[in-house]
Amino acid sequence: MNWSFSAEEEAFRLEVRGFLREWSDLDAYLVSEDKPRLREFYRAVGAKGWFSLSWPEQYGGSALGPVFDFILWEELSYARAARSPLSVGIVARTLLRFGDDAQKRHWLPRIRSYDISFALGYSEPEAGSDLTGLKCRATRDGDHYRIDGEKCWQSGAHEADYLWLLARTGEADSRSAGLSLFIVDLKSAGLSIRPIPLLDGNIVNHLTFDGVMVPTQQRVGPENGAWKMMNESLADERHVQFPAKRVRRDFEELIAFVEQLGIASWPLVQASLAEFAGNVVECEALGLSVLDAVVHGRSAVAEAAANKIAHTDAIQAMARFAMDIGGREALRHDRATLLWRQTMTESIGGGTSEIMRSIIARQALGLAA
Amino acid sequence: MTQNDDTARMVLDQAVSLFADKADHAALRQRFEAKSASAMFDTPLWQAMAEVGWPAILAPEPYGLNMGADVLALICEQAGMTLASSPLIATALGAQLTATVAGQVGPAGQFAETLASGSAQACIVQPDAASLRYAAGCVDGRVAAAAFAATAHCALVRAIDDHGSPVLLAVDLGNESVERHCQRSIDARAVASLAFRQTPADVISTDGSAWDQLLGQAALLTAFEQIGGARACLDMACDYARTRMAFGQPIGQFQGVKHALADVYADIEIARGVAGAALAAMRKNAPNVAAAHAAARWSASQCYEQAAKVCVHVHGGLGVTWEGNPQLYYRRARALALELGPPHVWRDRLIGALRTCGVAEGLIIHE
Repeated sequence: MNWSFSAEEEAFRLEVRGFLREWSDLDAYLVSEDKPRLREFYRAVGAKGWFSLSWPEQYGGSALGPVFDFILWEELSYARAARSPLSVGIVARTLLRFGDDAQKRHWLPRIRSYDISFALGYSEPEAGSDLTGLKCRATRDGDHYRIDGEKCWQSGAHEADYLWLLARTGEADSRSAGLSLFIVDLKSAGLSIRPIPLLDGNIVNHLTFDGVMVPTQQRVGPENGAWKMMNESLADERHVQFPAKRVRRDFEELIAFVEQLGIASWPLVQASLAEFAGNVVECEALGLSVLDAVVHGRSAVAEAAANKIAHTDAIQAMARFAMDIGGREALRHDRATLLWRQTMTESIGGGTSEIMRSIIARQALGLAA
Repeated sequence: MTQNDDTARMVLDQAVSLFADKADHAALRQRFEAKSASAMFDTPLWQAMAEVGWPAILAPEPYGLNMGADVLALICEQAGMTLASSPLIATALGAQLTATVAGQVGPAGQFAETLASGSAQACIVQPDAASLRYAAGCVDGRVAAAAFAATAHCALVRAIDDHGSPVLLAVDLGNESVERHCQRSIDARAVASLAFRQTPADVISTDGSAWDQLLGQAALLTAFEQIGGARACLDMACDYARTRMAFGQPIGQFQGVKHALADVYADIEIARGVAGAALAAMRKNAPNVAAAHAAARWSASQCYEQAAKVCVHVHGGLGVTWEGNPQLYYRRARALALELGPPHVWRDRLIGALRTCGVAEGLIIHE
């Protein structure tokens, strides 16, 4: 495993940091509420060509290796600027692998420039962790599909332009073999969107589809063929999920907080900070092992799951410690309370820690349920 | 069955029905957004509790009912289960304390009557080390965020007098010299910081241990509230785990889920045992009472926070929605674990108290 970055990669890191200096006011990593400013930021990132670093040149990309994406999202998370948008993540990666030429030509330029945004439409009220149980149905109707059913937990769907929808096209009991992917205009007739605020101030949504019509050319990949596509595309973005630099940033803010309180020299504080410093390094090591797997085309399923557990455990422990040690001072410290609330949502979204452990057991240990 | 058991059963029934009626979760959510001090306070809940005489439970006659902490503990547990948010513990303890000096001291002496009747409420304000000074009948200094300081009429505080000795004071928060700054916090607990400038204050006790006793008693009663909250989290999570299906079975059948819930059950049983022992130690005024209070606090805080976290996790996405109840318990667990001092402070108190009473004696109470 290579633990160092090339001169070219380091130069890119410095370029990203330089760019971020103009956006130092943007604080949308923890809570992405500042939408106009965030959209402006994403467009600026798109204008730099950074959403398509690893795309083939024929689609406007730079054909660079995964390490550039890794550096970009590490730096953006460290700056607390923003998260990787779904459009440039799973949507673009699936289109690149499985979209037809017309779809690539239509969607990719608009994704690259961030002219359009996407929300992810996988989970349902009755199927979250187990997507093979999805019920939301897409029924062929001439040159359209008709969508009926419900989706839940869609981050940003109240503001995004399109939904990356996973729906059932096969028989009711077809499990993973009867699912298809669609691009759905979120302003479609028959689609209602109810925002659900979360503990940390972020907003997810409950979507109800009542005969929403989607043109067949907005089905991506073969009918009933979504499962394989989803798994392969997920593998393309594991190295940009849960960046270790976010953990490091939380750690550095904790140090600043205890210094501000004048308690940095307490033995309890020093012992705890030493432990957290270890956690930061562990997350960085796990992040690099995920990157290494992606670079070498190996499945990073178990590594990514382990990374998510380490990442969320570390940031939760630090946030809780800040409140413990800050006492009532922490209660009126907006950052301390926000981190405490926000870190709780991290071990739920994107698969709970329980699901992550099952993935590790199955994929890395041969212990199927 | 003894008369005590009858009383306990009656109060428990009363608590179950009062909280079923008054612990309103929709109103609780609204109080997070409160723009004024009065909007931070659950007035209908408090009025109902005052009507049934709960603030008077601890105070001696003629002010109060002198029913003892065991009865109040039952109420606190129900309050915890239902997320009822009130300054009942501080007020009942305040009525008891001020009754001991009623008639002897100045304006704060009247608090025995108003606190016991519920027409006034108290808050317990734990200052940072030596941040409050007392001299010539007045208190000076600032204290950071304290629960119910935004709305209480009387603050029970610890200050250092001009001889450098600790004194336990009752401060009339209605005095114009008191500055209050209401704060939004992680829970709807009418949090405010307070600043005293030559504020008249009455000495309740110059006994150095009086403050520690007050804090220990408040911590023990809070432990019952925490245990109640943990129990509600466990029940809620088990109900959900029995019905929520994933991968072809109820999620409660997965060991990752059911083992976590079984651990919470064990934590609750431990916390309940430790809190019960502390109540007994208090009743007998046992030499290890300070250690017992601290152990109850430590155990109940750990158990509630873990139960709340497991409850959130078992509910998945539902657990972190604003509309769902698990996040309210998660917030309350954290708020209660911090309000009377964070866990590490109580761990230190426990160790210190065990050294005093002898580690070998531990929490065992000799009849």
